[in-house]
Amino acid sequence: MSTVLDIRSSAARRSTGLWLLPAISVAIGAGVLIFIRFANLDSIEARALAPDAIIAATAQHVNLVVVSTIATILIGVPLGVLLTRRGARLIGGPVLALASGGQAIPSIGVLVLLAILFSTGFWMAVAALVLYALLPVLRNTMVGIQQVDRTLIDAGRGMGMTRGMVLRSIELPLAVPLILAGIRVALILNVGVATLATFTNAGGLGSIITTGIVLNRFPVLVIGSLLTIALALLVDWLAGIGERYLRPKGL
Amino acid sequence: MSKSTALPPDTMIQLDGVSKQYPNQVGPAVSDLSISISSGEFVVFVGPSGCGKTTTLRMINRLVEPSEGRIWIDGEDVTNVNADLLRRGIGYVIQHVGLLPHLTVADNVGLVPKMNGVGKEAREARTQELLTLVGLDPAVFGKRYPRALSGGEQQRVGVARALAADPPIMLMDEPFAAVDPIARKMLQTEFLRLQRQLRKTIVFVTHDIDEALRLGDRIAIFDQGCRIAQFATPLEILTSPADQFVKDFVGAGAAVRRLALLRVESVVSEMSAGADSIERPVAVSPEATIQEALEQALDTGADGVTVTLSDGGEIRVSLQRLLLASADATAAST
Amino acid sequence: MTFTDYLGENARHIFFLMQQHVEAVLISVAIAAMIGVGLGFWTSSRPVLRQSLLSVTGTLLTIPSYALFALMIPLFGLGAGPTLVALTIYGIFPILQNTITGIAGVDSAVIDAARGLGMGNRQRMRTIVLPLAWPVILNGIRVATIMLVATTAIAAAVNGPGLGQLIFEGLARIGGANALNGVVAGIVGIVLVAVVLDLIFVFIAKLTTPRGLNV
Repeated sequence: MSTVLDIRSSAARRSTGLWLLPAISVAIGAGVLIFIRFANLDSIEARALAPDAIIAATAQHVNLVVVSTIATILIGVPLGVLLTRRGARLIGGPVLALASGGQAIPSIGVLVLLAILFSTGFWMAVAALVLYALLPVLRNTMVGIQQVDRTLIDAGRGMGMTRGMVLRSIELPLAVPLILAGIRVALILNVGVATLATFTNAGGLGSIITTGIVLNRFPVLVIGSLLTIALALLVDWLAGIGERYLRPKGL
Repeated sequence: MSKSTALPPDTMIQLDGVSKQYPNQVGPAVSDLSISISSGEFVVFVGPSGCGKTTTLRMINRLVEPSEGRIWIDGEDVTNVNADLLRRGIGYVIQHVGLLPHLTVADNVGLVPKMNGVGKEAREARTQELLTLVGLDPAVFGKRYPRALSGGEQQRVGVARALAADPPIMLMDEPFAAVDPIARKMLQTEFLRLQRQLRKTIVFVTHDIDEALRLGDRIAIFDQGCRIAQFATPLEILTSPADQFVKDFVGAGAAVRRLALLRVESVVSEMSAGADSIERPVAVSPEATIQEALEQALDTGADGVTVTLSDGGEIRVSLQRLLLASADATAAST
Repeated sequence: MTFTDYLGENARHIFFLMQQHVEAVLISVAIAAMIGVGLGFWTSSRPVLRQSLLSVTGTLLTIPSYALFALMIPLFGLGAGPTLVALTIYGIFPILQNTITGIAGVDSAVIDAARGLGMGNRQRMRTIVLPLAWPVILNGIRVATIMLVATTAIAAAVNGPGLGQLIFEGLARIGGANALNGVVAGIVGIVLVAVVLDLIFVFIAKLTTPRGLNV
């Protein structure tokens, strides 16, 4: 457990049973909805917590997470594969070290930096999220491929498989579990950073939280936080399911 | 592709002056090695660790590219052909089997035919045929994953996979070494049976001299200098070792081990009838080796053996005469 | 204004924020360490409890930091309060995880020999397990610290201490003269703090690891 990424991977791997996370998530969501329905909210709170507002914020948040995670996968996995090929052996290590060092950069810093340098809004936020979540996917892809048993590759080449076939039929399938784990960490990171996207005009559930802080209304603040937490737990649960069911059988 | 005209017509594998020098090593791993293997022959490379036998084996299918020399397979110079295509015509079995864990047993066996474009039905039929051949019920084992199999079962699948494209040559690198001794004995016996049926050209690497003596038609003993000290039949190696190294490597008891290479029938049928006084004979099969007959005798406390020959006649021989005749037989064949 | 000019003009302010940042991190890590190491040792013989604790604290790590910071506000107001509490909560998992790993990594043969010598549980913990597990535990504290340095950046959103304020000030002044300078200063400052603290931990590790340990 020697880097922050290891800790996040380890936290993602903890066992919570198949039902606990969604149960808590649903419970929070239900609790929040019941509260909104029956509590005595003043007009400001009522407006901030109106169903359209909440749905819009959630949709923006999910949108940010989905788009950036897909982009991260599309960039990170092929790049990771390339860096494990024979020609790239020398630059693989330094690239990884560079990416690891980048984890010390605060996510809010990257978000705001990109917003100032280029523009605010959805796509800049996606760029920030992708940069931030690239490391887990990149690293796990590389490690996943490198840890494939050499004797399997030897057997494959001995059978007459070309290098491309070895990559497709042996290295990639056997690296899938680790790659999925990396994607899971990336998802969790993205949900977290997307909460800050509100600061650069990209919406998300963070805006409800900010509204609550700025207008000094605790119910709004707490509900915003709880909804964000519920979403994070749900995404984590879905990622866990994906990890379990997308891995090749027999491994 | 040039053909070699100087070789006897049934030479399947020929290595000519082959060497391998690794860039960051002092001294070559293999040096100026020439060897000729006939079609249908079972050749064993044996020797201490690190003496080049695996490297030489892997040069035949060019998983290791030779630094010098040429390689001929079935009369064609394959030193520079496309290595991937070359390997699809050579069976390759390794110690830890290398079954792909994310594929079923059946998918594993069908890997090379699939690469060669064989259709699904033909592949399935061939897979079933092969699994049965190696002693595994295809209905039971076909859809299992490798991790559910024992070491011995995995290696059987490994052999089946190597045979799938019906290659004329099989390269085997310590295939039975990772299996427990009982399973290993069984695998050796069954593989010999298989070979009698299929008559493949086999190059087999092991560090176990007993395995080599048991399996090989001819044995190449590699010494620490990575050269071949002797390349001969098991009997020749046991009766006339080429040098002290071979003698030491074979180890003590060569004379007794020769007894495992002689069949009772062949020894007894050469003997003249004699009036041996035997009190407690034990019946032995004419197919058994002299060593097995000796073990039976020792087990039962017998002082002689009774053999029923194939022509129906029965011979009774005392232990002493049996052993003396065996010694004569081995001396005569050298 | 160029970056260096900006630094020159605001050096005192930046330095003050850096101090705040370090203080917030170190205080939280210290408390998290006490809790994490304590819980790690306390549950060393209670595997079920151990697993549940790891699950709970691990789940806490998946919570977006902004949400956790905000959630603390009704309880602790704005400013340092929610910051320190939230940071402490985040810091527990790495330290707890590494304490457990460190304890588990102590060669059971050594412990067995100690029991054979008649050492009691407390004594074993103190003289054998703790020193042998220490490198791993210290590493956990180091990782927690680095993680918290980055997380503290968000504290400014709840009026909390630290270099995050530079980033949020830059955000507020978007389009203005020093927006970029402020944000870059904030980022560089935070990375600098992380690097320095990391080095300090490497140094502490060398100092406090018992000689003879192959670390």
